[in-house]
Amino acid sequence: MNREEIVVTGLGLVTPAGVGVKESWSGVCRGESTARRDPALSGLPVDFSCRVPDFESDLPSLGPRSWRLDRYAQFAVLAAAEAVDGAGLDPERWDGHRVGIVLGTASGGVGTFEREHTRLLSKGPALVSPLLMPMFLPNMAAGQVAIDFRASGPTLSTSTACASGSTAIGVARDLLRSGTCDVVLAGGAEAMITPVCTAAFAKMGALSRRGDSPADACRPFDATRDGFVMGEGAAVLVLERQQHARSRGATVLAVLAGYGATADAHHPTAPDPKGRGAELALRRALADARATPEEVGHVNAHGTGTLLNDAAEANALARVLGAARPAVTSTKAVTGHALGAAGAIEAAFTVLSVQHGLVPPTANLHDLDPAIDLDVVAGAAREVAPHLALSNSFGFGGQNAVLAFRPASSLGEADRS
Amino acid sequence: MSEMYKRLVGLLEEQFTIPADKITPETSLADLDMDSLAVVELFVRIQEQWNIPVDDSEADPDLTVRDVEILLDARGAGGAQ
Repeated sequence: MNREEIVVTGLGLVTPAGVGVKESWSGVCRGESTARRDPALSGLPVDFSCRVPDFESDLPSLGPRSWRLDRYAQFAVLAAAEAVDGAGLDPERWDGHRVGIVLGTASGGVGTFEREHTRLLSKGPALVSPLLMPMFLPNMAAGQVAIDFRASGPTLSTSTACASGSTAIGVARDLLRSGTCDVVLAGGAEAMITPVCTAAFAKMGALSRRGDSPADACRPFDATRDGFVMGEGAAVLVLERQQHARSRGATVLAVLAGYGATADAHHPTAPDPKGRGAELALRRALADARATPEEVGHVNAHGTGTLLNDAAEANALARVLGAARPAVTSTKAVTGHALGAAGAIEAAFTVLSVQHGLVPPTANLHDLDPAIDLDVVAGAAREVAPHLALSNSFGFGGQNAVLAFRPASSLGEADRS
Repeated sequence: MSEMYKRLVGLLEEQFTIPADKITPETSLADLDMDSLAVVELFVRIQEQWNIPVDDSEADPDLTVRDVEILLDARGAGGAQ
């Protein structure tokens, strides 16, 4: 059966490594952690995080209304603007009915919710903001992007915890394959570095406690790893069917070749110790991409730096890809864990990896856990041949999503651009 | 310019990121891209920061900046902080 490929023609990134694709990509390729002490978390058991650097609230794509968008929606709008611009699309001229938006988030505008809850308790209900709901609801980033870009096709929000951004890209693929949309802006956004959320993650033992040395705290796959570091940000991918991209002369950055989604059906927060749900998601993504394990040259791992995740993920990767020994990395050591945005951010990094033949290093990996039998890239970025690459995302709830990307060159000369 | 007018312009500029050069006494809140929810938010900020009671039912985007100034002065709160 012939199946038209789904291609990536635009990327937008807002990460702690930088605002914009160029800044974010060069940041993760340098391999320097962005974690530092965070005044907003002062007094908490974990008082450091990876924050998106300050950006102008009057950037053209945000305009003078940034005050009425929660931080997570601001990230989404900025990333979407960069992605649409990079794809050479003009929202003034496109048929908005054929454009869809799918954005994942774990918590929506929880920062606004916490602030307004504090006001309710200290000042009373009369001073609760009338904008709390439109700032807080988890669908509002997608809704705002639809408004800004005149996209009147399906506008959806996915919530699969830390897999939300990857799930969004998988759902977008289906909207394109079914012919419902011609273009979908897909990704994720999160701004969850709040006192309540950080205290809660710390209380459940998920966060690194290396407060004396935040930049060394997140150590994916290292024998001394002790948890993740809170991150934030957004990524948006412009996805189209190959023929649609070709007909408008768009440059293809990579091919979204496969998607696999499963549930562990095991435990609310702990991964299946053998990584069986992750394994099945990997196998499904490969099957969807019609690829063999030997074709995989690179994996952008979920790699949170928690004891449980990295062990279970390594198990699953070794079982599925063992002999192929692809170059594995976790960019979370640089960016922190952007939770519901992480899958989208790492999908964008995976696109950049296949585009540039370069795998960013796993920062802070000095002493690979002897129980982990993987080729993890450490130290410096590594050049790799054109390859199929996977991006893993696993969420609380046992929700797993794996994306597979191929280089644009896999389409063959006649099919490119 | 009254003190209240200056404070209003300052509030619109700082909390609502509206450039001061767009604001005149005759400018309506709607002209500053403020919808009804944004005007209620403005009233919330006025109550919170200046302790001037304002009724949400009076929140109307067609109010000019001067109208709001008069409304606040009428509350006898010109000097309230």
